[in-house]
Amino acid sequence: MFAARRLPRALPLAAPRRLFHASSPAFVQIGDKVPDVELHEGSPGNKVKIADQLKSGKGLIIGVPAAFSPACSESHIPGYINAKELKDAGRVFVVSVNDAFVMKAWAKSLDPTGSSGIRFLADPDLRFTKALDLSFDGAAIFGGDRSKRYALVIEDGAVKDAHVEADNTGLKVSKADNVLGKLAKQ
Amino acid sequence: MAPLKVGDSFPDGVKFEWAPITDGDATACGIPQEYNASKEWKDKKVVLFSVPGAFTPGCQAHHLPPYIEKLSEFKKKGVDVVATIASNDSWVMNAWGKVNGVKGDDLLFLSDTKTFFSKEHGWPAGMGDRNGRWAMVFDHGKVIYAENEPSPKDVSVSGAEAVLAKL
Repeated sequence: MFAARRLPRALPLAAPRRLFHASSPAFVQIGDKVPDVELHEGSPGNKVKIADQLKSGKGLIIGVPAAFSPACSESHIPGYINAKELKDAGRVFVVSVNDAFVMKAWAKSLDPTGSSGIRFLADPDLRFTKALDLSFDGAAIFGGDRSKRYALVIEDGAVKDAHVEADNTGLKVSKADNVLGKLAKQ
Repeated sequence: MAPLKVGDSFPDGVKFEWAPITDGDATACGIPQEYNASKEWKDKKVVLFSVPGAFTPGCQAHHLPPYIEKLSEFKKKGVDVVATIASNDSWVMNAWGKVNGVKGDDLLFLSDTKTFFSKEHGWPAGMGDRNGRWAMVFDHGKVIYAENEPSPKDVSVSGAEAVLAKL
């Protein structure tokens, strides 16, 4: 598996930023490590290193194009919140290209008591999303680049399975019953 | 472009994106549509205030609530429309209104992320691409009030009280 994969984000020493590339980044592959990017939780000052959070054990990263928007609010995330297999998924994170305040309000509207355990993280400058090459040009609808809709199954810090919607915003392969259903079978 | 000032005409072709509030449930997504402000506001008295971000501390704690509380006072002074704009998409604006208990079009929550009214005709926040904190009043297409907060962290000249006092 390792031989077939391009080396991840390491650039020549001259490059100042490790995660941004002049060439196009590799679309997320199985075996990729969770990008070492700080996301924001609750407020811009509260930074969370998602790679550390998922360093060991099972986890799930669910990406959505926009907080409070159709599908995201009405079915995608509620599907996970209400799934009985959620407890077997490990640490679950929802990531969107919104600011931390919006994510906090959205989390509160979907899961007022936080009982699902799902954490809502903000990727306002797209660094995490772009590191996985999972952004798309949403300018027409959202006013800028956004995250595709996806679900990444993580184990011990690396991508075990990637369910990315081919049309960016549809809701098929990244749905809870598809992702969690596959987990249950493993 | 220079910010609008008292005496200017409201520009043509100003469109915002608007997901009308049709219910109180913030998990039921709004449906965005185009809001042609130049057309809608031509023959009305309109109070427009801009905030850097929906749900953010200053905007949520100090700027928005007084406008909601004083809606009837604005109406008494002949104001037809009270609207707020921010650099958030229309779904987030819709949810912000719902979470604050606003019904229907009592107060319009408009998105400025497509046409950048604040950037073109108002003031930026000086923090990234965010809208500034300011307020303007348009009376039948003429600007009768236009004030920018000296610091986007404060709510003074763009607050509900300051604007009401000038009407």
